[in-house]
Amino acid sequence: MDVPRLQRQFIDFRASLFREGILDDQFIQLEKLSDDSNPGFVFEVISLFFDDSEMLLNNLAQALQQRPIVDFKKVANHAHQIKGSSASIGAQRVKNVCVAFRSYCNEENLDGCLRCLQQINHEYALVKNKLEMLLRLEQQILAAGGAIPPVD
Amino acid sequence: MTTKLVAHSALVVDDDVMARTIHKRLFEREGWLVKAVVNGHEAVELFRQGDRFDLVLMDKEMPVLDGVHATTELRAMGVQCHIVGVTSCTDSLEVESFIGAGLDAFYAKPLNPAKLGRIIQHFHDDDRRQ
Repeated sequence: MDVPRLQRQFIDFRASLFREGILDDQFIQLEKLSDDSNPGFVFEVISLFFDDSEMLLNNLAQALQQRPIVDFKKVANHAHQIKGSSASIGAQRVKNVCVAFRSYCNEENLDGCLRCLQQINHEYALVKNKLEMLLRLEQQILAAGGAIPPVD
Repeated sequence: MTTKLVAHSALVVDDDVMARTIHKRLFEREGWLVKAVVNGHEAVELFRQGDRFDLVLMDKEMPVLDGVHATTELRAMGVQCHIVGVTSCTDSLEVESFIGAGLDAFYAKPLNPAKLGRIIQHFHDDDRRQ
Protein backbone atom coordinates (compact mmCIF):
# COMPACT_ATOMS: atom_id res chain seq x y z
CA MET A 1 0.00 0.00 0.00
CA ASP A 2 1.35 3.43 -1.00
CA VAL A 3 1.39 5.34 2.30
CA PRO A 4 2.05 8.81 0.78
CA ARG A 5 -0.84 8.26 -1.65
CA LEU A 6 -3.15 7.24 1.19
CA GLN A 7 -2.04 10.22 3.26
CA ARG A 8 -2.73 12.60 0.35
CA GLN A 9 -6.13 10.98 -0.13
CA PHE A 10 -6.86 11.48 3.58
CA ILE A 11 -5.82 15.15 3.50
CA ASP A 12 -7.85 15.89 0.36
CA PHE A 13 -10.90 14.02 1.58
CA ARG A 14 -10.79 15.69 4.98
CA ALA A 15 -10.47 19.13 3.38
CA SER A 16 -13.51 18.42 1.20
CA LEU A 17 -15.66 17.82 4.29
CA PHE A 18 -15.04 21.41 5.45
CA ARG A 19 -15.24 22.88 1.96
CA GLU A 20 -18.69 21.29 1.43
CA GLY A 21 -19.90 22.51 4.83
CA ILE A 22 -20.44 18.97 6.10
CA LEU A 23 -18.14 19.61 9.06
CA ASP A 24 -17.24 22.88 10.77
CA ASP A 25 -14.52 24.13 13.09
CA GLN A 26 -15.92 22.18 16.07
CA PHE A 27 -14.63 18.94 14.48
CA ILE A 28 -11.13 20.44 14.31
CA GLN A 29 -11.43 21.34 18.02
CA LEU A 30 -12.31 17.71 18.78
CA GLU A 31 -9.32 16.46 16.76
CA LYS A 32 -7.10 18.62 18.98
CA LEU A 33 -8.36 16.69 22.02
CA SER A 34 -6.82 13.47 20.70
CA ASP A 35 -3.25 13.03 21.87
CA ASP A 36 -0.88 10.35 23.12
CA SER A 37 -2.83 10.04 26.38
CA ASN A 38 -6.11 9.50 24.49
CA PRO A 39 -5.42 8.71 20.81
CA GLY A 40 -8.87 7.24 20.19
CA PHE A 41 -10.84 10.25 21.43
CA VAL A 42 -12.22 11.34 18.03
CA PHE A 43 -13.21 7.76 17.19
CA GLU A 44 -14.98 7.53 20.58
CA VAL A 45 -16.91 10.76 19.96
CA ILE A 46 -17.83 9.78 16.40
CA SER A 47 -19.16 6.42 17.66
CA LEU A 48 -21.19 8.20 20.34
CA PHE A 49 -22.57 10.57 17.71
CA PHE A 50 -23.73 7.66 15.53
CA ASP A 51 -25.43 5.84 18.42
CA ASP A 52 -26.94 9.01 19.86
CA SER A 53 -28.22 10.29 16.50
CA GLU A 54 -29.85 7.03 15.52
CA MET A 55 -31.77 6.94 18.78
CA LEU A 56 -32.74 10.62 18.58
CA LEU A 57 -33.85 10.39 14.93
CA ASN A 58 -36.00 7.40 15.83
CA ASN A 59 -37.56 9.35 18.72
CA LEU A 60 -38.20 12.28 16.40
CA ALA A 61 -39.88 10.12 13.75
CA GLN A 62 -42.08 8.47 16.39
CA ALA A 63 -43.07 11.82 17.86
CA LEU A 64 -44.17 13.04 14.43
CA GLN A 65 -46.21 9.90 13.85
CA GLN A 66 -48.33 10.36 16.98
CA ARG A 67 -52.02 10.58 16.20
CA PRO A 68 -54.51 12.17 16.54
CA ILE A 69 -52.40 15.07 17.84
CA VAL A 70 -48.68 15.64 17.43
CA ASP A 71 -46.99 16.99 20.55
CA PHE A 72 -44.93 19.75 18.89
CA LYS A 73 -43.16 20.57 22.17
CA LYS A 74 -41.89 16.99 22.30
CA VAL A 75 -40.87 17.19 18.63
CA ALA A 76 -39.04 20.49 19.27
CA ASN A 77 -37.27 18.93 22.24
CA HIS A 78 -36.03 15.99 20.13
CA ALA A 79 -34.89 18.37 17.38
CA HIS A 80 -33.07 20.43 20.01
CA GLN A 81 -31.24 17.33 21.24
CA ILE A 82 -30.17 16.43 17.71
CA LYS A 83 -29.03 20.03 17.22
CA GLY A 84 -26.90 19.77 20.36
CA SER A 85 -25.44 16.43 19.40
CA SER A 86 -24.57 17.52 15.85
CA ALA A 87 -23.14 20.85 17.05
CA SER A 88 -20.91 18.97 19.51
CA ILE A 89 -19.22 17.05 16.69
CA GLY A 90 -19.31 19.84 14.12
CA ALA A 91 -21.91 18.25 11.82
CA GLN A 92 -22.85 21.67 10.47
CA ARG A 93 -25.50 20.76 7.90
CA VAL A 94 -27.40 18.51 10.33
CA LYS A 95 -27.31 21.30 12.92
CA ASN A 96 -28.61 23.87 10.42
CA VAL A 97 -31.64 21.74 9.52
CA CYS A 98 -32.45 21.42 13.24
CA VAL A 99 -32.52 25.21 13.52
CA ALA A 100 -35.14 25.35 10.75
CA PHE A 101 -37.03 22.51 12.43
CA ARG A 102 -37.62 24.61 15.53
CA SER A 103 -39.47 27.29 13.52
CA TYR A 104 -41.85 24.70 12.08
CA CYS A 105 -42.47 23.30 15.56
CA ASN A 106 -43.29 26.79 16.87
CA GLU A 107 -45.79 27.20 14.00
CA GLU A 108 -47.11 23.65 14.62
CA ASN A 109 -46.56 23.06 10.92
CA LEU A 110 -46.63 19.27 10.50
CA ASP A 111 -45.80 19.32 6.78
CA GLY A 112 -42.81 21.56 7.45
CA CYS A 113 -41.65 19.26 10.24
CA LEU A 114 -41.98 16.18 8.05
CA ARG A 115 -39.95 17.86 5.29
CA CYS A 116 -37.30 18.78 7.86
CA LEU A 117 -37.21 15.23 9.14
CA GLN A 118 -36.52 14.01 5.62
CA GLN A 119 -33.75 16.59 5.30
CA ILE A 120 -32.20 15.70 8.66
CA ASN A 121 -32.19 12.02 7.73
CA HIS A 122 -30.51 12.87 4.42
CA GLU A 123 -27.86 15.11 6.02
CA TYR A 124 -27.21 12.62 8.82
CA ALA A 125 -26.76 9.75 6.34
CA LEU A 126 -24.33 11.93 4.40
CA VAL A 127 -22.19 12.95 7.40
CA LYS A 128 -22.22 9.38 8.71
CA ASN A 129 -21.02 8.07 5.37
CA LYS A 130 -18.28 10.72 5.18
CA LEU A 131 -17.06 10.15 8.75
CA GLU A 132 -16.96 6.40 8.22
CA MET A 133 -14.89 6.99 5.08
CA LEU A 134 -12.52 9.27 7.02
CA LEU A 135 -12.06 6.63 9.72
CA ARG A 136 -11.48 3.95 7.05
CA LEU A 137 -8.75 6.06 5.44
CA GLU A 138 -7.11 6.49 8.85
CA GLN A 139 -7.20 2.75 9.43
CA GLN A 140 -5.72 2.08 5.97
CA ILE A 141 -2.85 4.48 6.65
CA LEU A 142 -2.11 2.88 10.02
CA ALA A 143 -2.41 -0.65 8.59
CA ALA A 144 0.12 0.31 5.90
CA GLY A 145 2.57 1.41 8.60
CA GLY A 146 2.08 5.12 8.08
CA ALA A 147 1.09 7.96 10.40
CA ILE A 148 -2.04 10.08 10.23
CA PRO A 149 -1.03 13.46 8.73
CA PRO A 150 -1.10 16.23 11.37
CA VAL A 151 -4.12 18.53 11.25
CA ASP A 152 -3.86 22.34 11.21
CA MET B 1 9.32 22.70 52.56
CA THR B 2 7.47 21.05 49.71
CA THR B 3 4.35 22.43 48.11
CA LYS B 4 1.75 19.88 47.21
CA LEU B 5 -0.04 20.72 43.99
CA VAL B 6 -3.73 20.02 44.37
CA ALA B 7 -5.74 19.36 41.25
CA HIS B 8 -8.98 21.30 40.89
CA SER B 9 -12.23 19.38 40.60
CA ALA B 10 -15.14 19.88 38.25
CA LEU B 11 -18.64 18.44 38.12
CA VAL B 12 -20.09 18.17 34.60
CA VAL B 13 -23.88 18.12 34.62
CA ASP B 14 -25.41 17.26 31.25
CA ASP B 15 -28.00 14.79 29.95
CA ASP B 16 -26.22 14.59 26.58
CA VAL B 17 -23.61 11.82 26.54
CA MET B 18 -21.55 13.56 23.85
CA ALA B 19 -21.42 16.83 25.77
CA ARG B 20 -20.44 14.96 28.95
CA THR B 21 -17.66 13.10 27.14
CA ILE B 22 -16.26 16.19 25.42
CA HIS B 23 -16.49 18.49 28.44
CA LYS B 24 -14.93 15.88 30.72
CA ARG B 25 -12.04 15.48 28.25
CA LEU B 26 -11.56 19.26 28.01
CA PHE B 27 -11.15 19.55 31.79
CA GLU B 28 -9.03 16.40 32.19
CA ARG B 29 -6.56 17.68 29.59
CA GLU B 30 -6.04 20.69 31.85
CA GLY B 31 -5.29 18.40 34.79
CA TRP B 32 -8.66 18.70 36.50
CA LEU B 33 -10.39 15.82 38.28
CA VAL B 34 -13.83 15.41 36.79
CA LYS B 35 -17.07 13.74 37.76
CA ALA B 36 -20.06 13.69 35.40
CA VAL B 37 -23.77 13.29 36.15
CA VAL B 38 -26.80 13.23 33.87
CA ASN B 39 -29.16 15.79 35.39
CA GLY B 40 -29.55 18.54 37.97
CA HIS B 41 -31.09 16.21 40.55
CA GLU B 42 -27.97 14.01 40.63
CA ALA B 43 -25.81 17.13 40.96
CA VAL B 44 -27.83 18.43 43.92
CA GLU B 45 -27.73 14.99 45.57
CA LEU B 46 -23.93 14.88 45.36
CA PHE B 47 -23.68 18.19 47.22
CA ARG B 48 -26.28 17.03 49.77
CA GLN B 49 -24.13 13.95 50.42
CA GLY B 50 -21.16 16.21 51.14
CA ASP B 51 -19.27 16.10 47.83
CA ARG B 52 -17.54 19.33 46.93
CA PHE B 53 -16.23 20.66 43.63
CA ASP B 54 -14.32 23.77 42.62
CA LEU B 55 -16.48 24.27 39.54
CA VAL B 56 -19.81 23.00 38.25
CA LEU B 57 -20.46 22.99 34.50
CA MET B 58 -24.27 23.05 34.32
CA ASP B 59 -26.31 22.35 31.22
CA LYS B 60 -29.62 24.19 31.04
CA GLU B 61 -32.11 21.75 29.55
CA MET B 62 -32.16 18.41 31.31
CA PRO B 63 -34.89 16.01 32.40
CA VAL B 64 -35.80 15.42 36.08
CA LEU B 65 -34.22 18.71 37.26
CA ASP B 66 -33.03 21.30 34.76
CA GLY B 67 -30.04 23.62 35.07
CA VAL B 68 -32.03 26.65 36.20
CA HIS B 69 -33.70 24.82 39.08
CA ALA B 70 -30.57 22.88 40.03
CA THR B 71 -28.54 26.11 40.20
CA THR B 72 -31.26 27.77 42.29
CA GLU B 73 -31.27 24.80 44.70
CA LEU B 74 -27.50 24.68 45.01
CA ARG B 75 -27.30 28.39 45.83
CA ALA B 76 -30.17 28.03 48.32
CA MET B 77 -28.18 25.22 49.99
CA GLY B 78 -25.28 27.65 50.41
CA VAL B 79 -23.11 26.18 47.65
CA GLN B 80 -20.67 28.93 46.72
CA CYS B 81 -18.45 27.22 44.19
CA HIS B 82 -18.13 28.52 40.64
CA ILE B 83 -21.16 27.47 38.55
CA VAL B 84 -20.84 27.91 34.78
CA GLY B 85 -23.96 27.51 32.69
CA VAL B 86 -23.85 26.06 29.18
CA THR B 87 -26.64 25.73 26.64
CA SER B 88 -27.33 25.76 22.92
CA CYS B 89 -30.58 27.61 23.65
CA THR B 90 -30.63 31.01 21.95
CA ASP B 91 -33.70 32.55 23.62
CA SER B 92 -32.35 35.60 25.45
CA LEU B 93 -35.08 35.57 28.15
CA GLU B 94 -34.35 31.93 28.95
CA VAL B 95 -30.63 32.60 29.08
CA GLU B 96 -31.24 35.58 31.38
CA SER B 97 -33.29 33.46 33.76
CA PHE B 98 -30.51 30.86 33.79
CA ILE B 99 -27.93 33.50 34.67
CA GLY B 100 -30.31 34.94 37.28
CA ALA B 101 -30.51 31.55 39.01
CA GLY B 102 -26.98 32.13 40.28
CA LEU B 103 -24.44 31.42 37.58
CA ASP B 104 -20.96 32.90 37.72
CA ALA B 105 -20.60 32.69 33.95
CA PHE B 106 -22.46 31.47 30.91
CA TYR B 107 -21.16 30.01 27.65
CA ALA B 108 -22.91 28.88 24.50
CA LYS B 109 -22.44 25.27 23.49
CA PRO B 110 -20.47 23.64 22.07
CA LEU B 111 -17.45 24.19 24.29
CA ASN B 112 -13.95 24.02 22.84
CA PRO B 113 -10.42 24.43 24.23
CA ALA B 114 -10.52 28.24 23.78
CA LYS B 115 -13.81 28.60 25.69
CA LEU B 116 -12.60 26.26 28.42
CA GLY B 117 -9.46 28.37 28.70
CA ARG B 118 -11.64 31.42 29.41
CA ILE B 119 -13.76 29.46 31.90
CA ILE B 120 -10.67 28.34 33.81
CA GLN B 121 -9.13 31.83 33.67
CA HIS B 122 -12.33 33.34 35.04
CA PHE B 123 -12.36 30.71 37.79
CA HIS B 124 -8.76 31.50 38.79
CA ASP B 125 -9.42 35.26 38.70
CA ASP B 126 -12.39 34.80 41.04
CA ASP B 127 -10.36 32.48 43.26
CA ARG B 128 -7.59 35.09 43.63
CA ARG B 129 -10.12 37.82 44.49
CA GLN B 130 -11.54 35.77 47.42
